[in-house]
Amino acid sequence: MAQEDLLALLEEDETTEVVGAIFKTSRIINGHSIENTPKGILDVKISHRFGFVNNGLYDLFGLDGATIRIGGDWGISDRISVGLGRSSLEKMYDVYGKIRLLRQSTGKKTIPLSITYLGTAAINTLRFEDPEASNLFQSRLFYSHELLIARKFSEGFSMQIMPSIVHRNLVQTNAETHDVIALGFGGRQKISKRLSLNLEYYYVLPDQLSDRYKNSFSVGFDIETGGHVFQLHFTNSTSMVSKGFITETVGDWFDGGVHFGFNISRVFTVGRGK
Amino acid sequence: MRTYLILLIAVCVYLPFSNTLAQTYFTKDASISFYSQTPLEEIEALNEKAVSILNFDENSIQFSVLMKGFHFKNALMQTHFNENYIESDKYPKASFASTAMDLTNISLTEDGDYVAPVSGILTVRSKEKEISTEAIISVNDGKISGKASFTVSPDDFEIEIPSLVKGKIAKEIEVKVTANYQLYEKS
Repeated sequence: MAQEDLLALLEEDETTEVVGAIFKTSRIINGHSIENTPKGILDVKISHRFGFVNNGLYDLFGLDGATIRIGGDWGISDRISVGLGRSSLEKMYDVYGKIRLLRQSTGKKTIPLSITYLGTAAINTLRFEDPEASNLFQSRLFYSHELLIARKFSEGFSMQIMPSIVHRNLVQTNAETHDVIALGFGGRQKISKRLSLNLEYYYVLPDQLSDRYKNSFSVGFDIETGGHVFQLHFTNSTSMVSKGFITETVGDWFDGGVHFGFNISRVFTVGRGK
Repeated sequence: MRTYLILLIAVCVYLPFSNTLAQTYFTKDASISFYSQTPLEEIEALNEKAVSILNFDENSIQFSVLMKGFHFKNALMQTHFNENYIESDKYPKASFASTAMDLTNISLTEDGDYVAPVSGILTVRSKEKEISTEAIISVNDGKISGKASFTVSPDDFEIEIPSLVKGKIAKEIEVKVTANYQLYEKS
């Protein structure tokens, strides 16, 4: 038997290989991607959304104003990560937990999709407009549940769908529903090893929100440099929290109602890792 | 009938010899590690699933390893290794095949450590690099094991390192190989 054949024979024993790096970082743009923060890693994210571009030159196309979110994501295990954030918009605090349910893999055991559950809670901490009224603490809470279902189709192309439900304890008008069901779509195409083009869209099923709210649509780039990922994008959503961009997006793309924005991710190794 | 008989005799006579002559050893769990150290960063990775064949008849050794099987302490380093530097989806394997090796002074019946000079071609990312080193082949109670080390550079395999992280990846990367072989028996 020739040596090469023997080597090939020995290699035949297939192993299961988990498909990694479906997205570059744990966010597509506003929403979460299938990626978890790895165990023992603290990922500090600083995100800005400038003002609306259609504010024109007076506001330097929105650059004069910004809403920010500062947050940290922490990998507890290879399957579970949690995060905490504070947004300037509505002085909002948000927390989330993200649990991997299924991982796409090839080889001996083939799994076509990765599935992750994402649960978030957020609290608006603006002062009550009327301190005299009987204000309820619960009225400021928001929750969301999302299932992130992703597949890496090729080395450079990945897609994700996100069936989502947002629960608002208090809604602005009776015409709006407390639970808002939406279906999110996300995708990325790598342009080079360190650059990718990302798209994200959340479609809110009809008859749940007032007409002034639009579906969130965002397009952007991920630029990776070692320990940093820079995400630069245009989005019609102002909020960076699920309940905000899914149910309270007011910008209209056709009218220039978009924000320029960025997320900067910097990772620190905190635990010992593996 | 006569031809069969001759064949049978030939096989019977040859078989015992072939077993002792076919000195091919193999392993599926050789370990390969590499180590890069700069003042800014220490990078270490280990793969314990390398396949290797050590052939005493042909005086040769071969290795093959899956790049995605290298484990790093830092999960992000592992992602970057596969995604940005090795491009493991495009180049899933690395291999080594000896072009010259001297195993003649090794006695498989006598315990001890034997020095075996080896040179060959290391292929990573489909780029070839000539490696020469000295392997230590140990015989212990009929068990064969080997170890070797050598250095490579990212340049050897046209691995681009962006200027921003240049200070974190060493120009000389130390590779260590250890393998515990077992006799390959033809089935």
